[in-house]
Amino acid sequence: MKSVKVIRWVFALLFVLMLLTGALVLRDPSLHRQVKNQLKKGYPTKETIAQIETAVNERYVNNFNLNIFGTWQALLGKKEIRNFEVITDVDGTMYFGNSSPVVRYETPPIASTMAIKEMADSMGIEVLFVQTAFKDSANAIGLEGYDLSARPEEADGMLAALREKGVNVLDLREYPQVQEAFRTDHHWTPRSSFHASALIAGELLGDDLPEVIASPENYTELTYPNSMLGSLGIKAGDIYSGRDDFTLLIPTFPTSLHYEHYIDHKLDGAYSGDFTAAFVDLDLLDNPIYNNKYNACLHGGYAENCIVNHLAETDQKAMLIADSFGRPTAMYLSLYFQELRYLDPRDGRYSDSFLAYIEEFRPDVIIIMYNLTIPL
Amino acid sequence: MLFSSLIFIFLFLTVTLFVNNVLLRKSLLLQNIFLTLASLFFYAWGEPFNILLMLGSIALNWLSALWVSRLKAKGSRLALPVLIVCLLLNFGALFYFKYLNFSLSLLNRAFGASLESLAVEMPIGISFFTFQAVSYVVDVYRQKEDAHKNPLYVAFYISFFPQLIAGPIVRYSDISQQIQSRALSFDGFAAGVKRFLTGLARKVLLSNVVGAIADRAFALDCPSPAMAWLGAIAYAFQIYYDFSGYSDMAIGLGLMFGIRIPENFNHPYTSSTVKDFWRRWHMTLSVWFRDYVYIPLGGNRSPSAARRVLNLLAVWALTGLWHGANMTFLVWGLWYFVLLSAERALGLSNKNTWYTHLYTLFFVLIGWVIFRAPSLSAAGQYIGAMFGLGTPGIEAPSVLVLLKENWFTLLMALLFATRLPSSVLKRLQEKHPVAHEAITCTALLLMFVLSLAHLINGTYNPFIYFNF
Repeated sequence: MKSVKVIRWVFALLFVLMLLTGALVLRDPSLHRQVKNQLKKGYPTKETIAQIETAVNERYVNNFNLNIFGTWQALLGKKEIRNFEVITDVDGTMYFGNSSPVVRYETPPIASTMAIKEMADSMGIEVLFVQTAFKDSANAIGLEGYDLSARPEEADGMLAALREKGVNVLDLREYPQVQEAFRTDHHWTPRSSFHASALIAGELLGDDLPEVIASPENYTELTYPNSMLGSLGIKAGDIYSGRDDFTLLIPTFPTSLHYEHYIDHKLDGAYSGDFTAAFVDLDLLDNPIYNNKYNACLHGGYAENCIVNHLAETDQKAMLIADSFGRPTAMYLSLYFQELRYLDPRDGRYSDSFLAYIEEFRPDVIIIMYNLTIPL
Repeated sequence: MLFSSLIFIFLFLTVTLFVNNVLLRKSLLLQNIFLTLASLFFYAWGEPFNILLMLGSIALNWLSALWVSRLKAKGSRLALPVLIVCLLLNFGALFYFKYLNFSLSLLNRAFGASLESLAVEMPIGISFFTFQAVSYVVDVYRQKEDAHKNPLYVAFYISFFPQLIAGPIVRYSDISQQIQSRALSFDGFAAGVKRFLTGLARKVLLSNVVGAIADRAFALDCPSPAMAWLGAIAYAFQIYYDFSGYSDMAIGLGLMFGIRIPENFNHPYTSSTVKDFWRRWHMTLSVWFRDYVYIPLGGNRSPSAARRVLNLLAVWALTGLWHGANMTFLVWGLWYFVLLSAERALGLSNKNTWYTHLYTLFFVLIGWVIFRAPSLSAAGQYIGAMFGLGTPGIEAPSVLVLLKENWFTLLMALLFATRLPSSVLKRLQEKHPVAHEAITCTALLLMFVLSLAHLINGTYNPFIYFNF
C-alpha cells in the first residue's frame, strides 16, 4: 500500500537523520584533541576507551536533552529522578536522596579536627568548629517514606564528640536566618551565608563585632530572577525543576579587597576593587546559558583562596576550612578580618598539608566548617 | 560497546550503516569484509586485548572444520579425535576464563585446600561465541554443513557484531546462505529499525527502571514480604526486558544489514507450563543444548527412564552453569530439572489451565530469586523474607513510594509481557494498515527520543547477560 510505504520512508529517513545529527559530534575539534591525547598513551586499554566514551557522552549533554528527560519525569508525576538521587517535595524544593542504602559511620571523623586543634592550641590560635546548616530535609513536605540524604544524627554525634574534647562549636542549624537554601541546589543561599558569617564573626569577635558589617540594612540586593539552575535541578532540566532567583547582598559601605585564587600553588586568577569587583563574576551572572550562578561567588574559586581586606578594622587573620558552602561565606567573612584564607579540603581541591599551611600562614583564628576528614 | 550507548548509536552504527548500505551496496564481498572488520573493531572496543582470543577462536574453528571435513570425506577415523581436540580447546578456553576460579574455590571448600585464585578476567560474550563456534564445527562433522575454505565466512559468522556478545545464539545454518547471498532492501531496513528501537526502549525505559527497584530490594538484609515480592517481580521484568530488548536490538541490527537472525523470546511470561516457558525463553540456548548435548546423550530415545533422567540432569546442570560460575546458577538449573521432571511425572507438561499458568509464574519467580542472589544463603534468606521469615528493618524508600514512583513503568512492563499489545496491533494492521503504520512509527520515534534522553541523562548501564 502506497501510504504505508510513504510512512515507512519518512520513518526510516527521520531515524537516519537523527543518527546523522548525533554523528555531528565528530566535527568537534576538542573531541579530536581529547581522543588523540588518550591514544597517545599507547595501545588503548579499557580505561582509555572508557575515557573516550565519556568524552563523547559529554557532547550530548545540554539543556534541550535534559529537558526531554525532565518533561517525561514531570508527565509521570515523579518526585524522584535518577533512582532517588534527587527528590522533589510538593513545594518544588529538591533534596539529595539516597540512590543506594547509605553506610552510616560509627565513629565521627573528628581526628583531623582534633589534630588541627592541638596544633592551634600550641600556637595560641583560636579554633571554632562551625556546623553548616545543610538543606534540612525535615522541612520537606509530602516525602514520607522517601530516604533523604541529610543525616542530622551524624552531625549531632560529631558535635557532641567535639564539645566533649573541648572544641568551641557553633551549630548554625539552630539559627533560622541561615536556613534559606536554593530549591534546585543543595547549597544555602548567599543571604544565608551572609548571616552565617555574621554569626561566626560574632562568636569570634564578641563585643568587637562591627555592627555595620553584620547588619543587613547596610547591603543592597542584587537579584537575577529565575536564573539559577543548581546541582539538583540540572539533573532533570529546568522544565521539571524550575529555576531559583539568585540574590547577592552587596555592601553599601566602602570596601577595598584583593582576591587571589591558587590551584596547586599556581595563581589561577586575581581580582581587586570593591566587593563586587573582587568577588562577583558578573559575566557569569549575565550569561543566560550558564545555569549554576552559585559559581559567580568568588569567581568560582574552589581550591586555595586568599583575600586581603584593605579597609579591615582589625589586623586579625582568619583561616576558613570548608567545602563549597564556604564560597559565599568567605566573601562576607573576609569583611571582618584583615586577611582570610579559605581552603577546600576535598579531593581535587587543596591537596597539600593543612598543618603546614597553618604553620606558615599563622592565622589568629581557624574556622573549620567541614564534617569529613581533613587531609593533614 | 553497548547497543544502548551513545557512541554505538550515533557513531558506530551511523558509520557502519553508511559504509555498508550506501558505499558498498553493490558488492557483497566487500560488505562481508567490512562487516567482519567492523565486528572485530566492535569487540576490540570492549576487549582491547581479548580480541586476540576472538581471532584465535575464529582461526581454530575454521581450521578444525576444514580438517574434520577432509577427514570425513576420506572416511578417516581421525575425524572424531580432531573434533574432540577442537571441542576441548574451545571449552578449555571457556573453562579457563569463566570456571577456573570457581573450580578452585570448590576444591578449597571440599578438601580444605588453599589454592589461590588467578587474576583472570572473563572476556565479554565468551559463552555466546564459543557455543556458536562449536556448533559450526559439530555441524560440519555431522555433515549438515560444508566447511568453508574461505576464513572470511567463518570469521563473519562468529564475530558478526549484532549477536556477538549476548546472542541470540545463531547456528551456522541460520546464516550461511545469507552470508553468501543477500540483498539490502528498504523494507528490511525499516523493519530492522523498528525492531532495534523496540529493543532499545525495552532496555532503557523498562529494564533499567525496574532494575533499580530490584537492586534496592536485593540490597536489603531482610526486606519485608511486600518489598521482597516487589523486588522479585521487578527482577523478573528486568531480566526479561534486558535480555529480550537486547535480542530485539540484535535482530533489528541484523535486518538493517540484510541478515535475519532467529528469534529468542516468545512472551515467556504467558507460558502455560514450565516446559512451555523453556520453549519461549532464550529459545536459541534451549535449541543449542537440545541439539548438541541432550540428543547426543540419547535424548528421549535413551534406553531407560533412568538414563533419560540423567540426560535431563546433565542438560539442566550445564544450562545453569552456562549462565555463571556460581552455585546459585547450578541450583537454578537444577531447579528447572526438578520442575520439568515433576511436570512430566504428573502429566502436566502439555496442560494449559489457569493453575498451570499460575504455578509456572510462581516457580519462575522463585527461580529468578535464586538466579539473582549472590549466594545460596542469600537466596534462601530472600525467599524466606518473601514468606515473612526474618525481621525486616526500616525501608526507605518504602514499597508504597516505589510503587507510586514507578507505577507507569511497572504497568507497561506488565502489559508488554502479555500478548495483548501485539494482538491489538496485529488486528489494527489487518483492518487499518495505514493507521497501524503511522501509530507504530510515531510511537517508536518518540520512544527513541525518550530512550536517548534517558541515556544522555543516565550512566553506564551494562546488559545483565553481558557477563555470560
